Amino acid sequence: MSSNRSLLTIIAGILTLVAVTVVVVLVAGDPKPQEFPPDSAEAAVQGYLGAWNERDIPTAYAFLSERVRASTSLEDYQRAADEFLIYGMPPNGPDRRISIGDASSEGDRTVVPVTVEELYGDGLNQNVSRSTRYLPMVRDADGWRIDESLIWLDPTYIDYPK
Amino acid sequence: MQTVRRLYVYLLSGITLGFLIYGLITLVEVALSALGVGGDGIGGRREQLSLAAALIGVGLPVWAIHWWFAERGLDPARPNAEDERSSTVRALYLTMVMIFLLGFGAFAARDLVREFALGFLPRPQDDFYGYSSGSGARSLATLFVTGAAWGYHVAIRRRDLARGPLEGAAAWLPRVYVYGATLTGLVITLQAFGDLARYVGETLWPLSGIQYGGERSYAFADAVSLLAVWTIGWIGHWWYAGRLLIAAGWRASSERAARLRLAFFVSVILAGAFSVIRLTAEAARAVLIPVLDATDAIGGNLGLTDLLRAVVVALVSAVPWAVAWWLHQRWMHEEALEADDPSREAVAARLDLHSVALVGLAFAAVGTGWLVGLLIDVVLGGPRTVGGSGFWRAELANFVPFTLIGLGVWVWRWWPIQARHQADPAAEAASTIRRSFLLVILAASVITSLGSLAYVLYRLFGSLLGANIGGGILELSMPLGALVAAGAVALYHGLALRRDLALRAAIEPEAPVVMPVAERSRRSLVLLGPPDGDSDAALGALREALPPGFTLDE
Repeated sequence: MSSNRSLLTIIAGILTLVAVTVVVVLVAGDPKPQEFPPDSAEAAVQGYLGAWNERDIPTAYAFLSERVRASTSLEDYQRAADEFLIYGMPPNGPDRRISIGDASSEGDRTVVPVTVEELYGDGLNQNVSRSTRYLPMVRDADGWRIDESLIWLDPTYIDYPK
Repeated sequence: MQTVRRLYVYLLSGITLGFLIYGLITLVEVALSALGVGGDGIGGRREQLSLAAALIGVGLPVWAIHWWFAERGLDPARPNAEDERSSTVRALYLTMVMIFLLGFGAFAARDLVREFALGFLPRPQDDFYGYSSGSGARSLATLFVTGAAWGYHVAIRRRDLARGPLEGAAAWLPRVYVYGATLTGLVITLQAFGDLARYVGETLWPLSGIQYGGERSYAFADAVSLLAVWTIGWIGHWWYAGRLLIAAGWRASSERAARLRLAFFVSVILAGAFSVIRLTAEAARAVLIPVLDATDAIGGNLGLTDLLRAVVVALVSAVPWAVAWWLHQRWMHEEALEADDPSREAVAARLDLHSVALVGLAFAAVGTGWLVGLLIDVVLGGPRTVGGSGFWRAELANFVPFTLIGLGVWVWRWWPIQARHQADPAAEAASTIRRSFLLVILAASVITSLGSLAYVLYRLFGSLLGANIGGGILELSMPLGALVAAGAVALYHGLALRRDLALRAAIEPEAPVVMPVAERSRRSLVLLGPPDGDSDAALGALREALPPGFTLDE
């Protein structure tokens, strides 16, 4: 292959990559969420995050374990959630995305990894900050539940004066 | 032995000069503040005066003794005067002292101009960000003392140069200062111009939903002061470098042939190409954000004015970089054409083409890596995510311009490189510049590939061994993108390097069998000529005239 032809191939390849990426992001950029088995730990986490996304705090509260709910009433949880949302922290935004990984068990401990990615900076400085949290899960009478006191994905100790 | 002595003398001179200068700055500051010049902010004048007296008392005699020793070595009556004048240690000392003094002086001048500019601007009551230095007397004293010391060392250097030709490190080390200061001044000036353009843009078309306060005055004063001080620094040093080109005697020819001057031109071309691509990509990004519906991802309240301002500010900021790039490229070619060495123009052309191609390729490779990662992310990781489509659109708006503009610039410069290679493959394959270009790219892409591959394998082994490392495809997409882009770049340039090596091996004649020195007759000769004579040419002519079997080595 002559050098000019290889150069033209590279140009064509990159232009194709750009075109395909643009089309994929614009056309398929809003895929339907994966459907996890209804009684799986991943589905519980998906339901919890979906409820937060809709600002449906009572539903999100219902995805916490009996142990967590016993220590925090729905009213206290709602108050803490309202405060959390005041500080301009929408659970999901266009510049933040959350990905649910596969549940894994070790002994009697089950965790679901949840990766939060945030876009920051611009131009050459643009980058993605990524952090993965492992949500401890427990199987209650109602199915899999998150066994940690969380406001959205932040571990929180809620202790309001009665 | 002489080198060890010089190291001691100049090291001690440098350290004690620091003591002396700090003491003098403190003394002048106390005097100025006592006279009410530059504010009366300094507290504890007696303590400051004691400190100044102590530092001067220690620094002045020790510096004076060591500097006297250093200067005594240059006395023409002394046998080693020429060795002292042309010593690397002395050149290094003068270079370092001038760099430090220029740096501190420029900082002080910047503070003074900034304080002066702030006097005409609204400023907030509380200096929350600590922008204000608070002591004009300190800045004035620093500028005065470092300026005087800098002027003294410049005069010393000029005197050294006036006594005759200097070669090797004694010539090029101080050139690092001249061209380094010129480059620093130019880059800071153009950067400050961009900041000023941004300020003007935000003043003409204020950011949506932002109530400006007095803190913007600091940003404006910062840009103005940097622009004012470093424009003087840049033009002053560039003027001096230009004067050397037309100086009488050995200095003009030495300066014209200096590789550091060529390196300076290449550095400006690199910085210019980098900034023009970056700023043009920024303007393209501002256009793509509404086109790709990514406005929410970078700030929900952005309006048309914000995007228009981003485009105008980026393009206006790019103009001086483009002008600097074009001018220095032109000057480099013009000087190469006027050079005594006919190969200089080919060197300049290769440097120009390869340096810009390198910058274009870097942008294109970074953009391509991100786009491949993004594609993997959307196709394989999309269903696992909750929200975030604007996230992808924002990434697209950012990296499509990098890819396309970088690709355009790379092709623009790589095409003529390829044409030169086709026209004269042997000469291009033998070029050190081309080989360095290919090796730099190969090294960068191999390092990137290895880093990415190691991360991908870590995740793979982690999954196989059941390690709890989470993240899934999101953690893998960008390393995979980087691996694909860097691997492709390494492959393409690695093959080009391999072809060049094969070509060179084919055309290079086999090295002649040289008899061991011990078995050959040997005579030492001394070549003498006029002071401005071309000894290399004379040596070449002698070698040409040698009968078979004879060699002339230096």
